[in-house]
Amino acid sequence: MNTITSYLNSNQGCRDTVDSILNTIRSDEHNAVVGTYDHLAAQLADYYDATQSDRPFAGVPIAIKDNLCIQNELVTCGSQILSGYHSPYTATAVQKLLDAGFIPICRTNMDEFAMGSSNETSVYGPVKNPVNPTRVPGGSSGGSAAVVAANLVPAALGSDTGGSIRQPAAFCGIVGLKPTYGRVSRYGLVAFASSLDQIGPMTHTVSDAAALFSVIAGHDPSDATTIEKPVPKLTLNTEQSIQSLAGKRIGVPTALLSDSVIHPEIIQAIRNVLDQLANAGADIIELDMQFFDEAVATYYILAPAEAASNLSRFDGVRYGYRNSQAQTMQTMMQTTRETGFGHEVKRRIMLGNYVLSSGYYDAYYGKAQIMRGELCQQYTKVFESVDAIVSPTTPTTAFELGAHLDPLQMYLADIATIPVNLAGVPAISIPCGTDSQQLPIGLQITGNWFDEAGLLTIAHGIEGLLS
Amino acid sequence: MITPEAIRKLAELSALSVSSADEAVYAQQLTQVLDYMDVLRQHTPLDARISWPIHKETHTRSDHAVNLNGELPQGFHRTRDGFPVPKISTAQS
Amino acid sequence: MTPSGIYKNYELVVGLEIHVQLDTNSKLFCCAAAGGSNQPNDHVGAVSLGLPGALPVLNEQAVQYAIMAGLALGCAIQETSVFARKHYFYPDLPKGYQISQYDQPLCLNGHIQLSDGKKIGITRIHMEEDAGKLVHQGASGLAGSSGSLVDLNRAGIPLIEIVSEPDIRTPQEARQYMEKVHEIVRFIGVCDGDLEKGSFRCDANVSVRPVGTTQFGTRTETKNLNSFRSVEQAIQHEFHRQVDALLAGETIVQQTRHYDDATGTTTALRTKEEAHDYRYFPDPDLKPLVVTTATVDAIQQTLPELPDAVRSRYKTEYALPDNAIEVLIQDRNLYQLFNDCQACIQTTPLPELAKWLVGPIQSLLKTQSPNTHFSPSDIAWLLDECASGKLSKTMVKDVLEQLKPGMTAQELVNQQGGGQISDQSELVGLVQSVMAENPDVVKKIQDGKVASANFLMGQVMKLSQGRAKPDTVRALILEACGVAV
Repeated sequence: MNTITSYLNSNQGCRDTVDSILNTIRSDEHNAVVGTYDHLAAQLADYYDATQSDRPFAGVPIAIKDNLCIQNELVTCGSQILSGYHSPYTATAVQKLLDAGFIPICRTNMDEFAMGSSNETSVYGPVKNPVNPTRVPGGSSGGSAAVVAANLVPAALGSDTGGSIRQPAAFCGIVGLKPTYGRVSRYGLVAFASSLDQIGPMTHTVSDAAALFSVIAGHDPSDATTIEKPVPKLTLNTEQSIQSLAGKRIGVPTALLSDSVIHPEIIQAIRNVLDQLANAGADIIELDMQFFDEAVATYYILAPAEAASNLSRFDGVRYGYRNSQAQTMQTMMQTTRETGFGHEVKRRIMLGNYVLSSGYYDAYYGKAQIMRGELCQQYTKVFESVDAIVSPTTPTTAFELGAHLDPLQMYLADIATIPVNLAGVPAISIPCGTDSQQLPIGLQITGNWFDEAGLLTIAHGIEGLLS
Repeated sequence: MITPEAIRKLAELSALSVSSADEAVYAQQLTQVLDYMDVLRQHTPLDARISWPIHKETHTRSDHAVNLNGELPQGFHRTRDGFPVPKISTAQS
Repeated sequence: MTPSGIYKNYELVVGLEIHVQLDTNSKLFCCAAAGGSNQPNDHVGAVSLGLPGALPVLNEQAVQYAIMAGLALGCAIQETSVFARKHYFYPDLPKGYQISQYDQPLCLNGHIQLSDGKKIGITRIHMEEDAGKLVHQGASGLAGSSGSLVDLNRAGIPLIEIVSEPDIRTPQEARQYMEKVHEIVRFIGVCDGDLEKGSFRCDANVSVRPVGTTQFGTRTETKNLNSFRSVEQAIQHEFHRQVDALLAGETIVQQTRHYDDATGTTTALRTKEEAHDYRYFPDPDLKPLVVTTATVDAIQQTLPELPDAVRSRYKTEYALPDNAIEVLIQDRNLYQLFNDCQACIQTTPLPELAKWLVGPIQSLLKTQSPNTHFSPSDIAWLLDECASGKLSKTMVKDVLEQLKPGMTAQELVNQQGGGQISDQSELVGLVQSVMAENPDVVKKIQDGKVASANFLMGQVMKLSQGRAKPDTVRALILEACGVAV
């Protein structure tokens, strides 16, 4: 298995490693990669080969989702409207990776502007799930999940707004962490929904996710929504993590174990984990958590509204794709956006503008804000009596490519991941078995605000139990 | 119930030039999604004392000026005298 | 000035919206420089270019300046205010939305007083970003142009928008209100008030109603008011236009109008009012702005005395001449200098100090700028010496001109021989030597041509390097020539 440590311990030179990965990428059939950082990676690899660096992760390759900016590199968010656009600056999270010694290898495919749950809306075409290429990898960080699952790289950065790290992690059988909102700077992450987006690691193991979290998290003066709280540096030990499970209070929302919502095989897998947790000495507490349907409705009001706003800057004037045939400025903007954006993006932009428009603001956006407060209140109450919440990550395993679920069906599939983003609490998805078709099943563990230390320890313990 | 006419207005608000065929499709899709929102409209809010954002510290920066100096990389429509746009129409739509 | 003829049956109702650029180093939410630049798109950053992934961070100096303005204009500073996004598409708006404040602005309920005592209310003051500039190609303006070039140097510069209550009733009141607000924001140092550069801009909301009624008429918004004069003229024109329309049986259309300075008239920008749906919502990239009473109090302490209070004090307490007061208030450097000199001065009366500052010293400051070599204590010492007769006015001016850094005025004067000669015998000696060298002039004076004494005086001054006291010298010369003084 591809872990960060395996690269740190490897005898192969950095440049050889990088070249070999780039070679493999060129023949990759999953369509997970949309571009490679050939020059940057070669430069860094040569440097680390020549220098005895004291950077903790010197020479470790990593994949970067196509919505994170690196100076002078292409960043296109899976969209035509950013074709040819190179960023003049580097995202803070990526800069932290570079400072820690990581080598960004490639840009991974994603749902256009992170809107989607199957990585089928990208202008570069769909990504195939490495576990089963007839299936979707999940989205929107489908490419990042696939490169890790296909063992091309040990780790990738993704972004999560309504489940975009956790759901593809679940579908591809890897680990995906969404940190607490405000932990990781969004400066340089192309914004989808500003109050929901977070950058997070996608890896094979919980310790790798924890290591990456410590590198990328921290208050950033360039992002006014980041919080000034010290970032925990965890050294996880399997035995200790398993032992620490004893006495932990693990909450389980019964609504997410109902077979009218979740596929029975998934429920079975979760129950399996709960049994093992109970054996390890944890207290399993059933929770009557509410408002899952309301949460989905709230999300699909707030996220499109913020997206419609954030995507207003793409007008063809300053950068990216522009319809240069247009005779007037207005036509130029309208046709540029019409051609440059795909259907899902346009749908959400119009939905967003609808709920923000005068006359509808209170009925939709206003109500959604109130509901969001209620969800935060609910989590606050729940975490008074539990240390973590365990549930399935998704209602089904990876569905087929081209299944053409209608928009509403797709949206409802995020029912287990969405409430986490609305509240801003941290959550991680770890693999917990497969279904009868050998498709991976994901277990989601949700922690209290800023309690990544507790969350990751529990996740590490469960991972240990399951291995 | 979102009509194709409503989509036309939304498209204008969103600076999108949607074809009439697409108007009907989007109208149906948005209606479906917005109907689902009724679950929220039927919900009576409890007394929620918490509102977003939860952590409200104001972050400011000092008044130090730093410009994005030098050449902008590829993908920018800049000329020496500014970003060019075609004529801004003053005609009524 | 009351309306005459048919217009006297109608009451003019005006509210002004003034946009004030705050004089910060960097922009409101972007760290790019806020000053102007000759090169288009020179002062830009990720945020003011609207780049993907860029995030706004609030400039603390802009907040301070905004609070200062709010306090100086009598407002209540709100403890919590919220930044909201205002959406519309235009090439000079890089993000496709402007970050402004909507239903929770920074300041509420202020007022200013015009010179006749009338109070004009200020509804609110809020913070927002400025937009970029469009340079139209192929025509002088938007109409008929073949295209435009976008310059984002101005995009993101901090603005405060000051909205007045519709309390203004005449074009003259409008002008006075604008002038008063202009004076205040310049005086407290938050804005350079340059109307030509566009750091102080005004739009007028004008409506009319029959005298005696209380319901507001439909209002129009007039833009492109680039001087105090144009504000007054535009409102006058709009008042007449609206009354004429009503009397002709037309209804007033709510619209935006453009003022043309050359013709003194307003024209409709759009024939039909486009109701913009700005879709305001709180900006999720920014937390609510919380300003504690402690912060407001601290800022209140640093706020200088306001112009009207200064005027009143200078007139009644110091008896400064009116024109000097106005100059001091208009020129912040001079005002500051007056304060500093006042602290050092001992015998010179303050009106005298004021005259010096607004006269020769102001000229010197202009020629010597940016670095002057005389300090307030130099000025104070020189003027005191002058008041006691030890230095002449000319000497004071010369010293101020000649001062080099690192030297005080006192040192320089001593170096040059120590001020005016008051020793009688020395003066007599000088006069005698000059008279000895110019016997023909002496004869002229003795023959009755008293004016020729001026020539001899000039010689004495030259000989004494300007240090001889002119009056005394003249008297001595005449006396020596036997002319009655």
